[in-house]
Amino acid sequence: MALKHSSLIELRLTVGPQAVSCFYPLLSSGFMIRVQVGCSIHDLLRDQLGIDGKLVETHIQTVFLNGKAVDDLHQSIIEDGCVLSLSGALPGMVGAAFRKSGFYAGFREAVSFRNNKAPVSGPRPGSLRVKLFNLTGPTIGPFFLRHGIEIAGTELEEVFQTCADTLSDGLRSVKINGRESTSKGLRALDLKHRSIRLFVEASMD
Amino acid sequence: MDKILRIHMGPDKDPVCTETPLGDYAGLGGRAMTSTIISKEVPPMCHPLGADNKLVIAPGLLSGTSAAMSGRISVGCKSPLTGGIKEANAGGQGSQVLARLGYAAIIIEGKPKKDVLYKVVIDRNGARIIEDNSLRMMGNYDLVEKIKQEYDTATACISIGPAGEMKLAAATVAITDTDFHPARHAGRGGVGAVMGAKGVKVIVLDDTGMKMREPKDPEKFRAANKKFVEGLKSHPVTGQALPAYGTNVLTNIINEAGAYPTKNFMWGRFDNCSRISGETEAETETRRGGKATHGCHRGCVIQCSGIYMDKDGHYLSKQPEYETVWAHGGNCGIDDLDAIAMLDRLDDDFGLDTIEMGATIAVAMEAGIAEFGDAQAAINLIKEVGKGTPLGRILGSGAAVTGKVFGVERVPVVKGQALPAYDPRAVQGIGVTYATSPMGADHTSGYAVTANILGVGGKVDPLSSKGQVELSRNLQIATAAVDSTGMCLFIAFAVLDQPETFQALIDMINSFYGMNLTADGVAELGKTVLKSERDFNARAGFTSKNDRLPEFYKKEVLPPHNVTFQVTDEELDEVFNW
Repeated sequence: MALKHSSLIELRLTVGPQAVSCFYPLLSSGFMIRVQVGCSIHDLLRDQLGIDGKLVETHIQTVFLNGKAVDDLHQSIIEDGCVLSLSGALPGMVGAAFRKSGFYAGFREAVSFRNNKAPVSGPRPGSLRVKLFNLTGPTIGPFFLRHGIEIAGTELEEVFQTCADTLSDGLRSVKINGRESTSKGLRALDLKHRSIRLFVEASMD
Repeated sequence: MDKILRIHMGPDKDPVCTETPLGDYAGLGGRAMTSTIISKEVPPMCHPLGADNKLVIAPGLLSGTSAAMSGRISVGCKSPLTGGIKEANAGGQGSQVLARLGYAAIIIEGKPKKDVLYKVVIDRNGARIIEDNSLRMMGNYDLVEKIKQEYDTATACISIGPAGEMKLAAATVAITDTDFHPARHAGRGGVGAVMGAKGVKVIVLDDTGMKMREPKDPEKFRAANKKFVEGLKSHPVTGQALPAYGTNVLTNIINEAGAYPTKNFMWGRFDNCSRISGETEAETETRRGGKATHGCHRGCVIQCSGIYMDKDGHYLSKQPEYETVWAHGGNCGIDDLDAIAMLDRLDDDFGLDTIEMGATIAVAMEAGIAEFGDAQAAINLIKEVGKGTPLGRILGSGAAVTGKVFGVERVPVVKGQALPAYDPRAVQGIGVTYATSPMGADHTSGYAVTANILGVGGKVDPLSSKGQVELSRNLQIATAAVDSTGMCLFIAFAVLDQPETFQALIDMINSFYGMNLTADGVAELGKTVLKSERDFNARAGFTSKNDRLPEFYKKEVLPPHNVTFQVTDEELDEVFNW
């Protein structure tokens, strides 16, 4: 599931608070993260990504693991190669049905995730694909961007094109493969056919 | 709202308008009003396009007041699509304006003796009906433009496009929105064909000089309305998700769940769905100078709609809803948002139901009339309907007819009406509602997720198969009640989680009418409405055999989860055993 290492570029950006939103479209289309797998979704979000438990409880209302609706974040275990999708509250009867542990969860029983807590083989390195839909982008997206996400170079290229003006004003610092660089150095990068491990930190200004 | 306007179209005499008191229909609004009148006054075995059918247009109980979200308008008749009773409702300005003019319902009955087109003009001086053949085969957009030039103080229009004039079973009744665009539609069941059969092209409403309806207890009403608005604004669905992304916020999620009907219900996932998601739609609208947040009627605080501009920054359509984006998008394999918005515009202009037309084009694509994913071909097919070519008239008659004509087995309809945007194999509970609703397959028939708050049906185990049947029943009861208030169904999400918001709604109705309605009373209203609808359908020849999904849902597995519809016929027959 992980992107190829041979062509991986590590990119660390610090941007002004307004510019962080430029990266949200990357989050809804999906990205890879490297984590310790073998833990629950709740522990992944709280312990490894540092997302406050209350934020998880209130802002993440709908969760899918491998396309199946999750009801209990504590009982659902992340395995290597999983696809994890997170969403805020949703409208519609079906939106209500997919809500975690919602009153209408029975409506979608056929596609509900069966808790897999029992066969835990302990934490180990792995990766998973994550999608952050709708309002989870702005609310918990920054935690993932700080942790580091892996995407295709063409996807990042599209962000740089769409948000050229915002990033031109908002870029504070650039590190490419561990070395300090500049916006000029960033522009000179050939992102095509490359995989990017991207870290984005918001500056305090 | 103390009178009914009856418009008798003939053929025994020239069209005439008569105002009558409410009589037995006092205290009814919205769906309760339309379904009660249809059930009582329309012979169930009549031809839907004949003189004996009636078209009833009714604002909700709180329409025309300052109550937030009170602008839904119900349109009822015997449906030319299903052959059963029909209530389709819409937003827009029509409900508020009609209520302020004092009408609890308009009933259009009879049939003109000659092939003439009429417009009805209603203002504070009353109603008059005028022959106007210059409007013939005019699209809704040109029509309202012409009306605005002719009646510059008009505040709303209720109209049909060419599809209604051609009496096609997928024809809608259009209602103008706050920008006077004919973009809100009573879409389902062919209500526009019945208006066309009556020879009425447009109802022009002008409430100039009329005041907001006054509550019996203004102080309590104001306080309840304030609390109601606060509840809506503070809830994450009505205060955040819907205003930010509209209903299309569902696309990514339903797709992720494998419940997104793709290419005529063959798959549960559409690979390119992110290109047509609510997130992409909102971003596109904002970037092009449109709006991602917009209300369809004054007094709307949720603002789930938007304005979609074309690539050159010109108005193209209102924000296509989730069901529209699905029907013309994923269900036809189309991932081009501009093409989908164009299809939405054409549907609105011709006066066509977007769900029915999307499902129909997908059936036509399966038949080989066009390739899945060919957006231009889909646009051309809708234009065939607008022109009234033989192919267009087949398509405009809906998915069931199209499937029969072209010999397609996988035709997603119940009671002749196309299924909406949630595959019932993945979300089986909604399949129960699709199968058993008196309206035909309709996601909004069991939409009011307030059933548990209402306590309808007592406690159920939602995780059991029986529980799904009970939940569907309770949802249908709650929805029938909310539809009768004229409140937007989207209020249900805040009501689901916030009992105080539900109480505020009840307090608004009570303080307005001087009533003592309780949650039990609301549930009883819903049951009464459903009973009268079921009774009409039974007298029209419907049996339990009509309360079934097409058999392919039981036989064909839906990837990626490879599930089939598992609720038994016996369980479906239990839905209305209360």
